[in-house]
Amino acid sequence: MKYENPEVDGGAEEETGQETAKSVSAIERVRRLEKIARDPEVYQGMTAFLRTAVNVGITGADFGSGVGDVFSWGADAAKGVGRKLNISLLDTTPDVSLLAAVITEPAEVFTGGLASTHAFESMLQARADWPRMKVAYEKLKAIWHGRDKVVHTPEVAAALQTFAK
Amino acid sequence: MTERAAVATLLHTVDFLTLKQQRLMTEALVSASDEDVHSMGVFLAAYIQAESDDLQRLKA
Repeated sequence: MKYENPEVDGGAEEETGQETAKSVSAIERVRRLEKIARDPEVYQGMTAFLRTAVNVGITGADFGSGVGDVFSWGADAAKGVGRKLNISLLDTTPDVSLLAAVITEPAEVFTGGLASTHAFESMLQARADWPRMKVAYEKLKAIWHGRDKVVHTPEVAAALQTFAK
Repeated sequence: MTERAAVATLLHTVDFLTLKQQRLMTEALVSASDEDVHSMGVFLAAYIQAESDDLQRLKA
């Protein structure tokens, strides 16, 4: 009599290659979450997403004069310091040059501080980050649904060759 | 590549082990006999090859 473990055996799913929620065991779910956490493309996309959220917040705050401008200037100052000291965490727009970031600041003077000058560099950064977020989302979906089979590295190929018949 | 090193590589390639399981099995590999290492390597290689074949079939 063949033993069947409903949590492990694919059953009908083996025939179609599809999986259902029931056929994914708890261990498999943990494994996939770990893989998502370790994936560099997902990490890059998540960083891009957080960066976009921070920039949207700064842009929104910058619409107000006075305190709002502190956020925008603070972001530009942190960008400069971060680039000088090579601390990437301080730069919320790494794909935008420092010149592009500060060149819009004089508009604050002409608009009484109401212009959201951070919007310009935020948009440039978001344009650079959008492809990263898309790739990360697709990768995350592929890993979660078990469609992320990797191409073998030379190391793995050599290891497989060791046991080739 | 030695069989022991190859098995260690393959343990980190298969998709049915959590990180903890991979770590514990790699530790156990140190004291495993040559025969056991060979058997495990054959099993892991067969699993990975079958997985690749399935992927090719699904993609086709």
